[in-house]
This record gives sequence, C-alpha cells and structure tokens, in this order.
Amino acid sequence: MNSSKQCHFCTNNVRDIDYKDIATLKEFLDPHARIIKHRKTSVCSKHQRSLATAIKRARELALLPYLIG
Amino acid sequence: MESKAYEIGYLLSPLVLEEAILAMVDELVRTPVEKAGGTVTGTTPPKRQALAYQIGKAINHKRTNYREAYFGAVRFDAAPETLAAIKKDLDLAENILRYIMINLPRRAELPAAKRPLGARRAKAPTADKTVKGAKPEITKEEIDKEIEGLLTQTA
Repeated sequence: MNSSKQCHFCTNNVRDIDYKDIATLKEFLDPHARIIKHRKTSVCSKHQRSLATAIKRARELALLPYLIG
Repeated sequence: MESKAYEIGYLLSPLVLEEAILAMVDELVRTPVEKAGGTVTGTTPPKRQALAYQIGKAINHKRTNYREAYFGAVRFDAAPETLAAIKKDLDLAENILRYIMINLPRRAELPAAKRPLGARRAKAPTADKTVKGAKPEITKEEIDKEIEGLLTQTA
C-alpha cells in the first residue's frame, strides 16, 4: 500500500467500500488492528471516510477484531 | 411510500445444522422483510467462519459464547417506515447472534462509472464519417421507391 502515491480505491475504480470484503479492509489495519492513517496509505479523504465506516461495520459483526494484543 | 435499498448482514448460530441453514435464513431474515412489504433483491449465502472475537448470546436466560458463526447478507428494497418492524423480528430471533442493517447507495441514481485510470478509451472507427455522409442519399431514393411501391399495392 505504501509504495503507491495514489489512492488504492480511486485507481481500482472502487465506488463503495464493502464491509464484507475483509481481505481488502485488512490491508488498512496495523498489527494492532487499528485503522492506518491515510497519510501512510495515500488513500484519498473521500475513500478514507468510507473505509473507516466499512471497517467499523466489519468489527461490529466480528469479521474484524477491535484490537489485537 | 418510496422504497429505499438496504442490506442486513447477520451472524447465525453455529449450532444450526449445515443442511438447515438456508431454510433458517428464509425463515428468520427473508420472511420478516417480505412480511413488512419489502422485496429481496439479492443474497450473500451464509458461510461458516471463525469470528474475530467471542460473541455471547443468551437463549432462555442461558448465556453461551460463540467462537464461530455463519455469516451472510440479504439485500432488499423497503419503505423506511417498515424497518422498525423488521428489526423487531430480527431481535426476537434466537438463532441470530448479531446483525446490522445498513443503507445501500442506489446504483441507478449514481452517475455512470468512470473508466479505470490508465485504461484507454475505445477508438471510434475512422470510416464512420464517410459512411454517415453517404448513407442518406441512397436511403432517400430507396424510401421514395418503397413508398411508390406501397401506393401501387394499396391502390
């Protein structure tokens, strides 16, 4: 993720980030399962907002952890 | 009442047998939606998977913790006023450990998707312009002939 300077979701033409797509969401979590700042991942503001919502929805359904360690 | 698009993501108890799971989804999720006047537009089939953390659920005043569950989703269109009734039914269902109900963005109302960055726009065939200019002249004569033919047939 860090290598790209453009938003991952903009380049892949993703409009809505799905809370069920755990594999993608996991890439934006750090080892403690915290959401990584967009400064590090280069996700644009618009997608960072919907990414955060998707991660929080996935956490609610125990698809993703709230915290590790 | 104008209907909107929603999605229910649910976790079903792992104690339900694998064969009975689809019937269970129909009974616990699909029927409340349709009873409230909604129409189901799509489903994600339930899949057994490990949970990221333990979920507790009390059935008959006895609390059990679950480490895995069946996760699935149901998309539907319904009027916003009917959601409370659907929620009530889902809350009462004992085999649903947890669920979320979310708004879905309406695809039809959104503008057409952008082409991916770096993708090239399909080139229009260059021969098009000459064909367009040439076609009407031929067709006019043909139409005239056809009309005359029709007139003679009807007369």
